[in-house]
Amino acid sequence: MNNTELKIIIEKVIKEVAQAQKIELPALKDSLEVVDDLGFTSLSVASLIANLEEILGVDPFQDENVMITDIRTIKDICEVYAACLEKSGA
Amino acid sequence: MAELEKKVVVVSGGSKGLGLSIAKRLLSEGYWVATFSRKSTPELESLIKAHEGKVYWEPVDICDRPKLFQFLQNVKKQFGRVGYLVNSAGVAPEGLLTLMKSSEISKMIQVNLEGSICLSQMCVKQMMIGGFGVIVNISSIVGIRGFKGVGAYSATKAALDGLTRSLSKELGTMGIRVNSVAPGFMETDMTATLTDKQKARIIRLTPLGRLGTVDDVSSLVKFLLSEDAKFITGQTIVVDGGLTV
Repeated sequence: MNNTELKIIIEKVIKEVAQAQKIELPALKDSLEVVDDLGFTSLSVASLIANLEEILGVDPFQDENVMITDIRTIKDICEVYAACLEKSGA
Repeated sequence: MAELEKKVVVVSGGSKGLGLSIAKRLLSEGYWVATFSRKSTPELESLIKAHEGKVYWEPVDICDRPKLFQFLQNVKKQFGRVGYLVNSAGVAPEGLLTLMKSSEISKMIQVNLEGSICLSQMCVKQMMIGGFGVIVNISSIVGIRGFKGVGAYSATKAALDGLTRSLSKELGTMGIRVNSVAPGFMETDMTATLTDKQKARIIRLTPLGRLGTVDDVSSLVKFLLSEDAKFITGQTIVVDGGLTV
């Protein structure tokens, strides 16, 4: 999976979680912050990560060195998952 | 929050005692039951035979995290996403605290508490995706009232009730309910070490005049998992014939 495909998946899941949580999203951009700009709560972020684990088979935040507080923007999420997928050899 | 079409439940420690009874009861209610334990038992084998294809079992030690994770992946493959969890695996070495080995204490905390927390964490991830879930933690009356000889055990059970309350707040908006069932003294292997004199004393102090059975408890578990309990969350419900009233 290349980074463009990964980004498409992540944006799709962001939209699905927002819909389930009744969060109205602005048009998605890499620089937007998930909590401040998209209006995600910590629980919506947890749901996003659970959904991504089901699709991608990895949870980057189980790694001691990857902190949930390190991801602020959509771009950060994409990078964290790309690095994790590369590490897991997927 | 609507009930799932296919009800997949994980019951920890389903090879004997209360776990086995819960597994049986839920099978009769149409659940697909996934369970694990360190070893199988003849009772579990016959249950698997009698409900072919509706029971999934693997030998897993709840302290083995990677294996537990793999078990849940396999359950998802076999049955689909988990919507229900009953944390019933537990060990209860008895004795005065000062006479217990520290390894026994550690093991008990690992199985009764850490095991339930980790299994909840793993199952909740699947429940979150479905936007529905019900968890029942099997705690105990010894987590609510003091009893001699079960100090460390009661600490793990009281802690489970804390888990119940906090998780219910954390997950309510996701459509996930969490409750505890606190049995009193039941006729299982766990109370086999009680002397007849001790049993007679418990019965004398129990308004309903007998020891509990696993059926008394699995009935409540069944109810809490069902839609009949859809507005109940964060509670610890005691099933002890009135012993602690």
